[in-house]
Amino acid sequence: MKVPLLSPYAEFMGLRLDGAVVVMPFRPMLTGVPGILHGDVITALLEIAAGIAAQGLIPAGAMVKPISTTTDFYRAGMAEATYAEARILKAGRRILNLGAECWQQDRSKPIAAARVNFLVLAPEVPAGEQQQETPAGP
Amino acid sequence: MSNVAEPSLQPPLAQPSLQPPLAALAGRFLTNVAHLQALRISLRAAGPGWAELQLPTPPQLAACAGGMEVASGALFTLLDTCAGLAVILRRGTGEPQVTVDLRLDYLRAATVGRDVIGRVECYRMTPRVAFVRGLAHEGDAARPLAHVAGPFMFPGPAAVRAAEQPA
Repeated sequence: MKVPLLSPYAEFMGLRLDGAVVVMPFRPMLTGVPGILHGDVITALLEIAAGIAAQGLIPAGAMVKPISTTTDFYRAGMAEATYAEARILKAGRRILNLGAECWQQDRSKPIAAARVNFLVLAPEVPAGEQQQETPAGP
Repeated sequence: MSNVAEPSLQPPLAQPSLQPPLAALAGRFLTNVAHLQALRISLRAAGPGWAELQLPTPPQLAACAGGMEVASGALFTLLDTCAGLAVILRRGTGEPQVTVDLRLDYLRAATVGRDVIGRVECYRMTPRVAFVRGLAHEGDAARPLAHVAGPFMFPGPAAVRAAEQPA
């Protein structure tokens, strides 16, 4: 399956990909307290990084859906570019557990980290089988 | 443990409208945050210790192009914002507070075009930490889209922070 790089939501946030790293250039609309990144913006970035990594783990035609996200906020995000990269903690057949970390200038000083768990949805059943469950048309 | 009781999210002793000082706090909180303006998050209802906000879901919040599911990050923003506001309204002050961590469980997908309502209460307050819980739904709180829980911390005045630094 071709990895769907960036969702409309990710574009709304102004994200782009640099290899496995998701980059979020600074924009005023990402702030909470003026000059400080809004915490949820950081979570969204972490979730998107995890989602992209999860997409790379599943068979063709399958989909992933996030079922839970826990974010630890370490320090405030400043008005500058922010980066996130995910790593695989456990890639099961049905559940993927990912960790993601995000940083700004200094990668050794992350500003937040998240654990994101995904459910793997198997490829859709063939159309023929699906039709058996729908009532016959008029 | 499969059927844990629904979180009690009734308004604590029905307080439909906020007293003027709290209303001013809530207004400042929402209008000063650029990202909330960008998402057009608005106040629906609130009381001392709880807040209910509304998030419109235009197509640019979709999780995939042309899809009808709202990206989970938008729900996270809505519920974290509700949580922050619930804590502010419980404290009655706009002094700094920090999200220590926040957990969201995504129970079902939100649909693009349907407003999402978030409702969070601050159910425990200590001098340095507050705890929140809440949910998001599309109009029927018995069919939640997501649950949220987590602690907030109050850094306190600089002098207190310095005194607590490990030597």
